[in-house]
Amino acid sequence: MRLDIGNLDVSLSGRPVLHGLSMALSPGEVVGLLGPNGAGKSTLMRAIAGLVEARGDIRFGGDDLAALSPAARARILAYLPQTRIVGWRLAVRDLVALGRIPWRRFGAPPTAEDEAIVERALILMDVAHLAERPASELSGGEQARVLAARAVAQSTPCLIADEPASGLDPAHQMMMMQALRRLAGEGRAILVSLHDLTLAARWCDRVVMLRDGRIAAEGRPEAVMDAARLAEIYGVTAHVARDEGGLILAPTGLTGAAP
Amino acid sequence: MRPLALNALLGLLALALFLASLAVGPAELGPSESVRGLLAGGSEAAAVIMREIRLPRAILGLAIGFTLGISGAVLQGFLRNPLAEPGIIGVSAMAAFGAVAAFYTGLAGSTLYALPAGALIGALLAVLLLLALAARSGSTLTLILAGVALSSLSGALTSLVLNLSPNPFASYEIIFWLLGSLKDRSIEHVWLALPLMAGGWLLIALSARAIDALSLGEEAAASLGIHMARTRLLIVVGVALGVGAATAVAGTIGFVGLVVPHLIRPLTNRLPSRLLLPAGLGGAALLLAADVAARVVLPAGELNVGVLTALIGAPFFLWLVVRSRREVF
Amino acid sequence: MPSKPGWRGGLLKALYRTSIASFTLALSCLSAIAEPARVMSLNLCTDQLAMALAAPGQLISISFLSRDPMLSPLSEKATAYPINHGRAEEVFLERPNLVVTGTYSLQNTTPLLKRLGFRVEEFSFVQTLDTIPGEIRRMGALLGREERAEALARSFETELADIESRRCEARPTALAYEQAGVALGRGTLADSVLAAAGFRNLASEAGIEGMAPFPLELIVEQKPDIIITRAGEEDAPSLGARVPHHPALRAFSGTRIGPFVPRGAWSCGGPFVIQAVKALAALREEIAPCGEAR
Repeated sequence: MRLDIGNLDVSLSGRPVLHGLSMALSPGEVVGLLGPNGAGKSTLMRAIAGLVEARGDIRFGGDDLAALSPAARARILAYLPQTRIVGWRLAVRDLVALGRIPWRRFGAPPTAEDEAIVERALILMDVAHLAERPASELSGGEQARVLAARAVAQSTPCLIADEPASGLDPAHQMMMMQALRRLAGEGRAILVSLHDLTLAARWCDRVVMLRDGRIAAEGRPEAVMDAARLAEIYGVTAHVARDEGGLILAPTGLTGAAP
Repeated sequence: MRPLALNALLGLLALALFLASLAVGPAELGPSESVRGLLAGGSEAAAVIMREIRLPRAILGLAIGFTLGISGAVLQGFLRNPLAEPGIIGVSAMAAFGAVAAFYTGLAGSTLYALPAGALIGALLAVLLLLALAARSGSTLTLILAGVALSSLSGALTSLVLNLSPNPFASYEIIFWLLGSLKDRSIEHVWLALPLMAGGWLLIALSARAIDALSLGEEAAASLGIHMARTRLLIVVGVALGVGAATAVAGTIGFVGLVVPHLIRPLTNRLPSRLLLPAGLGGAALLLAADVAARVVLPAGELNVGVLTALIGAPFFLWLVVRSRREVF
Repeated sequence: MPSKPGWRGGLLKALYRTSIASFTLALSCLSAIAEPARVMSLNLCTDQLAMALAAPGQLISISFLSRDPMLSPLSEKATAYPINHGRAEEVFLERPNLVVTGTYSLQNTTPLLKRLGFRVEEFSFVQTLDTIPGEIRRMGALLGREERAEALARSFETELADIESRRCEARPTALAYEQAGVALGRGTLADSVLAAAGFRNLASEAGIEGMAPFPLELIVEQKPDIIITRAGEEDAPSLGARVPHHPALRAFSGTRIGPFVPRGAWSCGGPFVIQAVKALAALREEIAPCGEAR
């Protein structure tokens, strides 16, 4: 089932941030959300997750997400916030298991299925070897993967991840994107915001580029990510190359014109 | 430690201290006389002492300790703040002021019902105010400073009302309201406070899943299907009911809700929901122990139990403040 | 909790309210003369003695507490006098020939007034029935009203002796509550009044000197025949006033609980105490009549 966003308007403290934005997210695809700081990426993701007030339509299949109960929505859509909060000294496994909350009956102990899903999420994010360690004592990159595993364990058809790769070393950035691809391969729809252009170009099926709360470009990376577009959206000059794995985009300087 | 073993252990500890509380008092009743007085037969005096004086006191010690422990645990979990506690953040002090304002001014006659009514309003105001503040800034420091201000203000207002009372002895009761006591409570107080406290426990228990999810912050919790407004309401009303009722009958008893969750958290998997029941049982054990000690240390005059909990709790609080700079909870 | 023998809670409160002394006065003053024409009383208890003895116009002011019906048995009579709040400035402006006050009441004011040259006479709080005639005579001598004082002291002694002579073997037990479970024990005025009226004071028998908490459990064990609460407590709520209403005390019959002593009647060692003795003697006669034993 597809996630359809239609004509979305969002204002924060009276200031319009998103203007009539429409897009769709299909099962099996990883969509990269790009754009400069303040373009509205996080606001869009939070609006889809129902965390900020929005006007417009957010539908999954036939269901209006806004009309669903918070718990029902949490079984459709998982959201990984950009701010990484690890309260208390929870063991990694217990923290990841919090992702099962929308599926568990109040007060019931976790089922074998819950435990298996948690285990798979731990392996997917390469944190299984840390399962018994307190999450608060891990490195920033490890915490990012643990929190991503929590969102994965929510086992929802849609996953919205706000900059899951920031702060990760190159290997784990790749690993994170690989994990998202694998989830898409299971038929989930993934929306991920990124700042690393090469990462977006090589791992996403499609990118949506935002500027000033509007979609400036949308399409396959090869089709929309070129030097002129990057100059227009980010205000940077970039070296664009290509190899068998896809595009390589390296920003080289400022265009001088404010974005 | 496994949750079942931990709860059983703490439950047994609380039970043992409950029995100890029944055994201690100025009337020197022997064990068999006490048991007969409590259950059946025995002399009239022993029966009255056990059933009308010691039993209500032990029940209140148990229930108020449970309330303070579970309230501390839920506030810490909800605010993701290891220093939150009904006493420190001023909820108890506001409850005491509410009770004093309703009772001593004679607004409600001299009926005992004025006490919980006033205390609940005071506690509710305090929790709402603090949550509004916490929502705005979220920092540990803001919450604690606001609590200090709220405690001082309501303490001063409590003293003011008592000093202004036309009853010349009312001002002696300042110490009861600022450093609570379980002395000479009766079964009337039990009926007055226990149902309200039990209601508070229930509401707090219903927030268990939400406070677990809140370990990941409010946004992640909301995305896990936690209804934030309802959670806030559950906890505000739950804590206000519990702490309000407890303070109405026993005055301000501080630090139980701070010390107990900290001592017990390392014995759990640290999920806030897993801490609720053990913290309640531990709180009951601590308050019963302090109340027994209050009668044993100074048998003639009897110490206010709030003095003892503060003597234990305040240095502990200081140690936590120092340690919390390293954020290792 | 105050525990000095004979300290009376009510007076402690009074002391607390009036001890806000002023140190701003710095002038010399008049000295006393034999029959003081202008007398000021700064204390609830000296007020009572002075009002009973002073010649018309001689007593120029009394403490404001005497007008408080919760504390003072003479509150109506007190409205006829100007009042003071025990401040040195007030005394200085009035320039009395004599100031009478209590020993503990104005710790800072009294030395100040003496240093300024006022004649200050202090009366002790620690009183029993035996000391009262002496206090009446002493106040009489200070005011130059010896005859009136002698008559008052004589009638006090006669009335007391009369009541004491009617005591018999039947001595019911009593407990006198000051407030919040605090009982009046040995050395207190209440203790001597209970003895004169023919009661045994359980607090004294338990070894309590002055005022001390008397545990509820011991009351239940010892079952006093009467428990005397403070009169007037019902006017303004306090938790202490509820202690005598604890269900444990209601659980056994036979104990009478109530404010059997007229309001303020035994808060000061003065002629008015005889009212307390009379009331309790009548109660004792009612619950444990001496019958043909006399």
